[in-house]
Amino acid sequence: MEKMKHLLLKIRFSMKNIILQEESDAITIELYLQNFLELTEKIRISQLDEKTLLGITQTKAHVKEYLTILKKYIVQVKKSAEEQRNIRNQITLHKKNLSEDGNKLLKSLRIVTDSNWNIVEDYRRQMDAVYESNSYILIVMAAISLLLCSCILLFIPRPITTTVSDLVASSSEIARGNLQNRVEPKSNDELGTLAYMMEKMRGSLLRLISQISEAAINMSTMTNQVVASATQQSSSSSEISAQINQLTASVNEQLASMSELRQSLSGVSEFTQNSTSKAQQSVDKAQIALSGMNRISSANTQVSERIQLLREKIEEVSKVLTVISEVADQTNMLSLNASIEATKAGEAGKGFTVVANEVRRLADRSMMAARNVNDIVREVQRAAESAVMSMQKSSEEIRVGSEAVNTSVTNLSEIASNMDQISQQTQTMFTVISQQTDTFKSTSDSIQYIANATGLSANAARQISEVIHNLNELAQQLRSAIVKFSV
Amino acid sequence: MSYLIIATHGESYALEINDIREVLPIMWITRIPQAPDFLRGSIQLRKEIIPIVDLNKILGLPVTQLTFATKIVILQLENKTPFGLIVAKVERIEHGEEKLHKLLRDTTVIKGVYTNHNGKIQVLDSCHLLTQKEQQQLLELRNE
Repeated sequence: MEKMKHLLLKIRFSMKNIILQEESDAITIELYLQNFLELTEKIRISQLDEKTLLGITQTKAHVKEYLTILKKYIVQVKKSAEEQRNIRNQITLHKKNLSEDGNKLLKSLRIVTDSNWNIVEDYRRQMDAVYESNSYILIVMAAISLLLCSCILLFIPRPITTTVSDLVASSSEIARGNLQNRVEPKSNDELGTLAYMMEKMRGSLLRLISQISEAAINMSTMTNQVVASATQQSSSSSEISAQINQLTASVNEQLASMSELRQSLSGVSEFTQNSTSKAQQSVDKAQIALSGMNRISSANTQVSERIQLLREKIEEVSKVLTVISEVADQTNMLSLNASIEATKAGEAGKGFTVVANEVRRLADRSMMAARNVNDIVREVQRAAESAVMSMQKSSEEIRVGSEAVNTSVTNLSEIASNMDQISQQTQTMFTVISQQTDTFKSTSDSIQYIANATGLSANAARQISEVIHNLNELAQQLRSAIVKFSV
Repeated sequence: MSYLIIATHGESYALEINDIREVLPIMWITRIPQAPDFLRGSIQLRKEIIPIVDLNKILGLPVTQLTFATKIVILQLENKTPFGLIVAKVERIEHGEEKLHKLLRDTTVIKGVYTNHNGKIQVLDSCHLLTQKEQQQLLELRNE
């Protein structure tokens, strides 16, 4: 058994190795397992216990299965190792082919670069040859240009004097004021240009002078216009000042009416305050009246209750009276029967007849009294009923009156609130009017300012007309000065 | 001679006191089924059944309306059945003349007339208020 355990441990260790793909260990395990089988066989032979035997046979069967599985596994492992080897061989073959191709490519590249370098060298040599031939031509060209320049400098003609004297004459004409003679250019050199420029100057002077004279005429007409407009302005400014005076007067009137309005507004404000306080007082009085009416109403209710009680009592009295009259009736009857009996008794009943008659009279009297009392009770009842009626009427009237008072209280409260609003609005109007007064005052100030400004502008217009008069004179002088020029 | 003065329809009549047993206030009158026409009904008085007749019917007047003033006068005649008479009003007891005047018109129910301070009073004949036949019927009813 100890041996078996040891073997099992070994097997486990080798299994671990197998899992780590160690081929050789698989064969050792196979050996171990066969040893184990032999050992189990031995144990089976030596062991007599049935349970152990059964266990051992079972383990043996398991181990056999295990062994077959292991054998299959070993075969598969061998197959896969072979495949791996084949793949590795193929890869190395491919690698070799690739390296050969690369070497070929490198060779061809080297050949191409060498040929290119040779071509570039050829070009450089050709360029050098061209440069040397061109330097000779340049030197020849420089010598020819030097010769040409000296020739031109030696043969230039100079006919200047006649043209200069012409130019002097025409310029002196211009200085005298005669601008009618033209200056004709006779050559195309600098002097010709000078003559042309002189002619140009003369034309511009001519145009300038005519422009000046036109301007002088224009200026005098313009100044006349300005003078007219200045006089207009002064007249319109005087009109403006008149209107400003009117405006000032109306503004002052407005101010006066504003102050009146303010006074009346303060009156209104006082009046509304008085009204408000009076309305409040009326509301208080109405409240007092209302509470009084309520008290009267409750008192009325109490009186009605009392009268109801009285009626009940009267009812009781009436019942009692009925009883009394019944009793009186019966007494009357009894006395009648007594009289009958007494009469039947003849002489012996005479005294009794008298008594019976007395009794009867008594009964009659009580009957009469009962009747009287009944009449009185009826009257009392009627009076009580009418009292109840009038009570109801008066309580209805009180109800109507209190409703009216209530409405008047609400109306008065509304009036008070309205008065309050009026007072507030009056206050607002007051402030607005104050603001307006201020505005009007500032307006009046600005109007004053405008009036001053208008006066100033009138003065300015006058000054302008004076200045323009001077200007006109100056224009006249200018015109007389221009007359000297013959155009 | 004493009389009980009664009144109906504004006319006063007298009944002789000797014929009267007593006067009762009006009470519940029980109707008798299949009774003769002259009977108004009956009352029970001290364990005695008493037939009731309306005086107005005897006098040929409209049926008496029952009020608090209405009374029942029980008549008790010798050798005859007692019966109650409904009268509208009982006035008083008074003493009148024994000698009665004859009435111009001859009737069985009025015995005669006497004069007092108010005028003439007709005295009713108690014996002839009911006819012989009626009295016989009352007797038969009583015996039943």
